[in-house]
Amino acid sequence: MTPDISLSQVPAHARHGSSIGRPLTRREGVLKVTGVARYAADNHPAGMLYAVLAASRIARGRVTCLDVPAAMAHPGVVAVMTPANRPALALDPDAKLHPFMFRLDLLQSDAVRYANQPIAVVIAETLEAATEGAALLAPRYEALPARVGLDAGESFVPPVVGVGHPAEQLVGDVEAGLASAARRVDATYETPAQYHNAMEPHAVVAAWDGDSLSLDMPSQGMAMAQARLAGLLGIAPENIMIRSPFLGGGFGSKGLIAGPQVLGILAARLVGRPVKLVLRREQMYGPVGHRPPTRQRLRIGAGADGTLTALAHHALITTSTFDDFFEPAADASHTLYASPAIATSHTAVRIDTGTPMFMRAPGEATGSIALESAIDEAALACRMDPLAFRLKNYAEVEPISGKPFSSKALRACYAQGADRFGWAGRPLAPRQMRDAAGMLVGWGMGTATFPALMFQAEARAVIRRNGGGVVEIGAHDMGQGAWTALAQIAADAVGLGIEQLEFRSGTSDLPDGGIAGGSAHTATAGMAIHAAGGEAVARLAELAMDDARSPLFGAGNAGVVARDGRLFRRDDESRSESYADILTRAGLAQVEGRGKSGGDPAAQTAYAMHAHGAVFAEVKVDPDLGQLRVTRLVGAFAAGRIINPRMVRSQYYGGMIWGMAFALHEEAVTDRRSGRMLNANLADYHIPVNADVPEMEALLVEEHDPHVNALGIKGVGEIAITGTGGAVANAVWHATGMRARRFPIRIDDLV
Amino acid sequence: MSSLSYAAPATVDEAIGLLAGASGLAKVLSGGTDLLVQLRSGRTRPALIVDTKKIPGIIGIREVDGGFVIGAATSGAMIGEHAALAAVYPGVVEATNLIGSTQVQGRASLAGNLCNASPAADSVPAMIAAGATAVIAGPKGRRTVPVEQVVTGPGRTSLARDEFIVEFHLPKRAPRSADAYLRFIPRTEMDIAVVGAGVNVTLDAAGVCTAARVSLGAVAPTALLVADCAAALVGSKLDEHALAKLDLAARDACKPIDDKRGTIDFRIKVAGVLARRAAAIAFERAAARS
Amino acid sequence: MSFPLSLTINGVARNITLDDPRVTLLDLLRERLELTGTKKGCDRGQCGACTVLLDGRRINACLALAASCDGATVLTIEGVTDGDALHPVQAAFIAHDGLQCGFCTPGQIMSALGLIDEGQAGDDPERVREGMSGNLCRCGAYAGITEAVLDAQRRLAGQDGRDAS
Repeated sequence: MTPDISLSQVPAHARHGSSIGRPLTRREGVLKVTGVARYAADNHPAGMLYAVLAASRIARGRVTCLDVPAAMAHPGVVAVMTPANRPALALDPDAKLHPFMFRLDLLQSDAVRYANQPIAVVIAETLEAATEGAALLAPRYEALPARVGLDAGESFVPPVVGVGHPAEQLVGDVEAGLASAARRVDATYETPAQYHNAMEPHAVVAAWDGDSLSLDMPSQGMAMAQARLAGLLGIAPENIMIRSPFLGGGFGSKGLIAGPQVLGILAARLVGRPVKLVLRREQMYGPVGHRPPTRQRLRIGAGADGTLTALAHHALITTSTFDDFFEPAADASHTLYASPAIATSHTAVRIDTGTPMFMRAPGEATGSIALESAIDEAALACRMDPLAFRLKNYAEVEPISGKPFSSKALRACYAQGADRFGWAGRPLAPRQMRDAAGMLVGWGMGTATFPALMFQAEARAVIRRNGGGVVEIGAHDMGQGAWTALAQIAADAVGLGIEQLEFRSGTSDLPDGGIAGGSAHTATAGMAIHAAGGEAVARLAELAMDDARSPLFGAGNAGVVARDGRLFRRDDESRSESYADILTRAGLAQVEGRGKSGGDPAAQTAYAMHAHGAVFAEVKVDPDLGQLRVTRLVGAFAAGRIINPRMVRSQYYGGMIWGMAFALHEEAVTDRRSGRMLNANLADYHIPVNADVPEMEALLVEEHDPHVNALGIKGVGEIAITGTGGAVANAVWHATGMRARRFPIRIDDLV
Repeated sequence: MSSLSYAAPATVDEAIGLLAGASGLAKVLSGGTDLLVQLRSGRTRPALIVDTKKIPGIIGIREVDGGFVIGAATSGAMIGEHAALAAVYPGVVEATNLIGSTQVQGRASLAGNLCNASPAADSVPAMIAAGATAVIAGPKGRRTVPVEQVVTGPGRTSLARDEFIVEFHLPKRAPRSADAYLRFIPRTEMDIAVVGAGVNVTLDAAGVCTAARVSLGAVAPTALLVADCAAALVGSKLDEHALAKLDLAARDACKPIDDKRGTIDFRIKVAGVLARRAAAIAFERAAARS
Repeated sequence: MSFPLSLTINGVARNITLDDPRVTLLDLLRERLELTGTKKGCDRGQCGACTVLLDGRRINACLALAASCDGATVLTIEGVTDGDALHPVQAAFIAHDGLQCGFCTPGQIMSALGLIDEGQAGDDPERVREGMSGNLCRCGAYAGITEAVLDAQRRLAGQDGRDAS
């Protein structure tokens, strides 16, 4: 069994009475293990009908015929929504008023621009009738040749990549650096299209009441969904109520409202009754985003002593024909390795696919597996141990910007991870290790990194005379543990034990909790809560310090500390007063505070902000069959202050499994002729099963960051994918001598 | 409410009558795990489903004349739990335990796994190697055919539309007989075989193979019974020479396709390796049953 | 055409008249009987989110026609808790953080109950992982799931007075 060391460590920054840092179990755990937790599709308002999508079987062309009469004739079918009768919209779904407004397929025409695009919606009294009705539509098409893959057309330089970064960045003279290098690597890696595949299919239960709309819908960003819907539907955002208490996984695919969810809402409008629409699994391979395929060329130059002289990283990516999302894969080379010359660049090809989207570590994951493989190749070229090579090129400042890091405990990650894994003594050459059963054994490593981001959020905190408190924020729990971690921050923010705190979240009528993405939700929502709690406590403190009857009277500049429902004089903790006493004397039922959060532009200008980690992998390969198993994974990560080590460890484990799957399992295969996916299901699109998962350890490396935010929080949700994919690929090389240049690694390549 | 009819007949004759009288496509449901997936994908759109689970005897395992009779709709889970069967036909049981997940095995049946006619069905090479026969009921009575003659191509069987399998027979074992099944999948669990190999052998007192059956799955349109593989084993104690002949015969028998799960060359290579390894296990088991 | 069905669900005998043979056991539970704890992740037996115990054996409820389950006994996640007390498997999932988003969790727990009852895995993490491989978890909570199953199994064995080691 994995030793539980990380959980027994008391973080050095934990203070007496603090909830932050405690390894609490999930506060919503009981609801989830009893089946009581209500996910969107579990709702069933009175009079509800079922809507089922019909999706395109072609990737490009148009729908020429839908047999609507046949569907309507089926018993139980109430309506068929097609471009002919879809309720009017206030905004063209193809309008793009800002870069984060992605175009949606809402039956605006008969045109088909990717396989699995929604082409009609059948609404019926039962799920079975709606399903049969959708089949009876028997669409006919006029198909054009599908454009598939990275070589389908002319490439171009995208205007920006990711969230508005330049497509090309350069420091120093890469060509000169390469020319002067004693050792060079020039390698091209391919990564496939991948799909988020949250266990919970996208769903919506929509009920209209006049111009008010009630929605049960998984969302990683309720306020953004509200705004998007308000624009499309021509109603006020506050007329839209979204309940999203639990997401059955998001991973980026539920960050923005998806077209099929809007179609469910329009179906409810069409029939004048509540409607439930749940995507079938195969329909999740098209209209709800994916990670695009990449072809990445890495050119690395190094001196004879292993010092980098140049690092060039180019990524060719695909995007859809009708919208702009550009996976920032090459940006992975900006932060990790010191080099006098770095060039990153992107080109893109438009193909007949649904628009790609943010998928857990977008850019970082794709770029990392190529970069970490190439760094391994460079270490080999320099005949150096891969860890020694990475340490040799350790970045003391962010290479692309020259900025100092706000904090960076990567050396400690390397040291602790290597020590726990037992890296020392690893033979440099491949195919040197075998286990007792004759399996080839290989060890590999990779460096992990992910930016520490901050978005914007708001929160409200109330401290009550009865000694309790309430904190409200429209935050999102998609499994990362928001119900627990944010409540821990909230308890500290209002100076109460977590049991005395009522934490409200998960609905859109609460203060805007921002978006659960970019590994920034705990920091962003947490800082809003911190600020709101701080304001409520400040109100209490004013009441007490201004009141001669209070033991805190005149505390003034010395200030007070809030803890366990009391305020203490900071300079003399023997003088304190309970919240109840302060409010009772003031004749108040409660005090309230509101808080906002957002990144600090001054700090962001001055510092590069990233979490870091090191991942070590062991694989075993059957020399006759090539059958490959990851047998051990050890990750050591430094991500600022850890709010809940139990949940953080789970995030790291999940990320490491995703990284392993990137190297070995996940791949969407598209038929070159039809443009249709050949494996749009969970049997053929492989995500790891329990037996694929090795013994894992995640070490939580202590790190204090005074700059990222007042709480010192970086993100933990995505970082562990990075580094892991490369570590596994490098271990495969070490076991077999075969260098993976395309992912997932194919077993037949190993034999 | 529906264009689909469903019937759960109580006798074999009633089931045959329903199949014979169906106005459109009629499908037999034994376990249902493949049928439900096909219904969902629209790959099959039957007018009638004949659920055989209510027919007495169609679920269950009986020991008859030293052999076994397995009802056609017996779930994989029940087969996996049958200690006597596992002792005599470990290869059949281990193959059945590889059909999908444990949950799938809770419903999936041998008849379904066979009649779905996938080249990669796990139980089929093991059943063929074991010398299993299928009892097929139809309007003209019952006929018994070797399992290898049931499937004629991907998705196709030799059953008439008014016929269905009621049970399988596994013959009485000679002493020092045993079987084994191995498959190769990319994922550690829950995957479809890239290659499957079933080997069944009988040894004499000296450990020399006197009879053998070798079957390969997923390397041709149907599971293969490979006589040359058997010939490689008979008369040997599984020395390196016999293994090499077996490996070569297995490779020669393969007519695989190229797909995402494996290239032709890879499948052929794996077939040889798996045949060797399955033979080694079968020999070891047979020797232990003396 | 209507189909009378007798099912015992979570200890309660139910007589159901089904108007449609296409209804699966999963959709019967979720859409007609308000037992939404059982989840639909793929509807094709590929993810295990709909795992229930049918006559004591774990199955994918999406792969069983409701009509075909006539006379059966069904246990769903809603029937696992003993009053207000969590079943040891449920408690172990919380203690070992064997869940993240929670969507696969009811299926994981039903599968764990089946696995423990089958008694094939012993105290071997490798065999537990194998036996739990019909239940996908996209969040990647597998380490906690395996620990939870082993822990609960030991506790249950102890309760039965068997050797817990």
